[in-house]
Amino acid sequence: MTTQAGTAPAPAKASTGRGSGKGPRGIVATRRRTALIFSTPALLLILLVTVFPVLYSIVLSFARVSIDYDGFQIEEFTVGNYGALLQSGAWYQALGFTLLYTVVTVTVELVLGMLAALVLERLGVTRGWMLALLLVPWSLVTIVSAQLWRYIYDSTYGIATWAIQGVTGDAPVILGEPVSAAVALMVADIWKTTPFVAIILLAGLVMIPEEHYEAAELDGSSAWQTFWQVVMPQLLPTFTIAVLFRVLQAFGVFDLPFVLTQGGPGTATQTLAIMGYRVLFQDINIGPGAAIATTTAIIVGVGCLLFLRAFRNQARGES
Amino acid sequence: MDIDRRGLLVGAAGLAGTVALAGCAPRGERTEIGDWPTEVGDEPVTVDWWSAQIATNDGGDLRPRLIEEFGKAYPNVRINVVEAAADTDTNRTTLTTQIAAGSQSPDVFHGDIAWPGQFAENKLATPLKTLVPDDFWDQYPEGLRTAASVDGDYYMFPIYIDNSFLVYRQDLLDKHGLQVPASWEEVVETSKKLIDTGDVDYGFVYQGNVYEGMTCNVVEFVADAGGLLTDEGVTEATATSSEAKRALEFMASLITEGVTPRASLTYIEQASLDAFTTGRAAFLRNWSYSYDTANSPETSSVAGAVGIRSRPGFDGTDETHTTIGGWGSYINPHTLVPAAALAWARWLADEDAQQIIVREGGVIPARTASLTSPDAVAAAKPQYSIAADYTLVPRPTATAFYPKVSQGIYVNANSIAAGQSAVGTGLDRMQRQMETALAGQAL
Repeated sequence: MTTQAGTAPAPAKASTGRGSGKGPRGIVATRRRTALIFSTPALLLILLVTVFPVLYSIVLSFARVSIDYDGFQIEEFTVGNYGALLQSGAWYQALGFTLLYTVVTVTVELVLGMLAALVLERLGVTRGWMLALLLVPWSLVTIVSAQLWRYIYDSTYGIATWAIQGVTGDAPVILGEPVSAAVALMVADIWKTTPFVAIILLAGLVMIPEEHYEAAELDGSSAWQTFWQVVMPQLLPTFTIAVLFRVLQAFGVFDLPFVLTQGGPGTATQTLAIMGYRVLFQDINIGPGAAIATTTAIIVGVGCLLFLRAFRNQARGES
Repeated sequence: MDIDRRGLLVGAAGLAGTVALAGCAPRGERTEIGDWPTEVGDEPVTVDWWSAQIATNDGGDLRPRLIEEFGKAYPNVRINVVEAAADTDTNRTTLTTQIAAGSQSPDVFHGDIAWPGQFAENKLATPLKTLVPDDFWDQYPEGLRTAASVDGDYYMFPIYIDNSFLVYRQDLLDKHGLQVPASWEEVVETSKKLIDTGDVDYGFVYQGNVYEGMTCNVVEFVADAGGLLTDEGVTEATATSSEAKRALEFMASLITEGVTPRASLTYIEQASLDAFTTGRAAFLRNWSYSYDTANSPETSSVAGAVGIRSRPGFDGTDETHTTIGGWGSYINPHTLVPAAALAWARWLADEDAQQIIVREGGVIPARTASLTSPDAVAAAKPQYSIAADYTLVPRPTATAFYPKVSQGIYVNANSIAAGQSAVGTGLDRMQRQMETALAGQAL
């Protein structure tokens, strides 16, 4: 900011002369106003399509809403919607599954993504090709990849069913049993999203100066020691970003289970997002649906903040 | 022009607030439904019709033909087709949010036969009692009238229905000198014989996944046993009745006796059809299109070797039951062209359109008389003659909480059929969940 303020007057005077008669402070103030005027339409748009719906959703979560011939009406404000959630076994089940899904998929994706990134970083001229190949799953629209996995898991002609039957002798009904359906869902997510994690981590890896590796080698550290004591501390900010992105995505996952299992069998793979959709749009239960959306946002928001604080403290400790 | 930041933010917040309040504010004066005109005037009007394709005999779209014919009777009314989403739930979601927000369009929408309860409760569909004479509804079978009504009022004009059938391998029955089964007990017996011959892997397959299709199957089996899952007013669950117990015991025995594969408990319509058209199953319960698909060389390896009959009953009963699928026309309560909307929706359900469906359509007409008309006889479709004799059993859709009621049915039925729950325990749980749902307390 100080550099901008210090260099701003000269070109302003030279180009338009509008700043003549005003000091540097006046020119900066004019520029700020101009910037505000230009950005106002975009800010208003964001306010209308993002901030307002979020705030209104929170309002609805505290309301008893009915639909009449005059549209939907807020009848009264209440905390009953949250009370209904806390007494609902289905909500706890959806919360538990969403947490499990997030922890398992993010953990596995970080491990596999790190391995892939380490390999890619060592590759020479073939890195570009390998990167392109690796990105194929990520580049597929989730609806399409979910449909592909559905074919793979199909109990009549699915290749996964055929392979498992070849080993065990029994044809499994992969998407029909709670445990195997959950695992199948996680596998599909890990297959698709690991490349995304690998790319982010690779970006961090290539930023680490080569001298640091050479110094570690001169000090006689093993590959394992180099990874934990040289690579990881410097990779921590990138790693944090990868985790944050993935936790946010995984906790709000909707499209994959919607196509693959519809939250089933029963409600075994019902995530909070799927439950919110069902309550809000299938059952037309607006207040509780908004409460599910709000609590989901709060849980993931608080989780991310705690995670960021923990990693920031660790990063400070490392430095 | 000098604008300070505070002023800008206050202005933006004010604008957002104004827009928000405008969105929430009640709309202007709207005619009460009881005051709606029922005669179309001379002024040209356009009716937005939210609809999905209605299949013709050769897989085309019957809608242009219906619109053309309607135009001859009502030259002042133009029908503007608004394409519906392919998926039923997406349709419901879109229509729900649109109409609940007060949208005047679409004027008429194509909706599932299971929607009246929910749409009536949430004022998303127009009650028709004051707009249509009572005897208009006499032309439809009783089960369909029940499905279209809530608390004594009608909310949907039927367009076409779907029934379930038993599709079977005629070639294998002939090969082994077996008769077409006349009861469920005979389906079991014949299935075992055919599996023993090695010609098929499975006997009978159906849609047992944890979804709406399973509810259809359960409702049908319970009706076969002589019962219902709720009282007639759909206010109380009756899932622990002896009839429900008999039905669910039979469904569980299909798996334990090796007649139905466990995979069937993950089947939706297409998966069960695949099991049949690939030659793995001898009997299939599915909707009317499955017979045509199974007999088409392009889509089936058993084409030309497939027969069809009504779903049988249990030993000692002559009545055959099917639940009702299909679609009808709902009128948006916010429409600004009520007379034209009513004329279009009613015309689609009435004789002229229904006879076009019989002659040229690939679906089953809703009118009883159309099913037995000379046109229907000339069409020579076995589905028509079977449908004319069926007893229709509606799902308990006349409640605003039907999705949760249905969930209570299909989750527990799947668990019982899979052997994960004993029949008694599973039905007790089904009863409790249905009661909670009917009380509006399920999330």
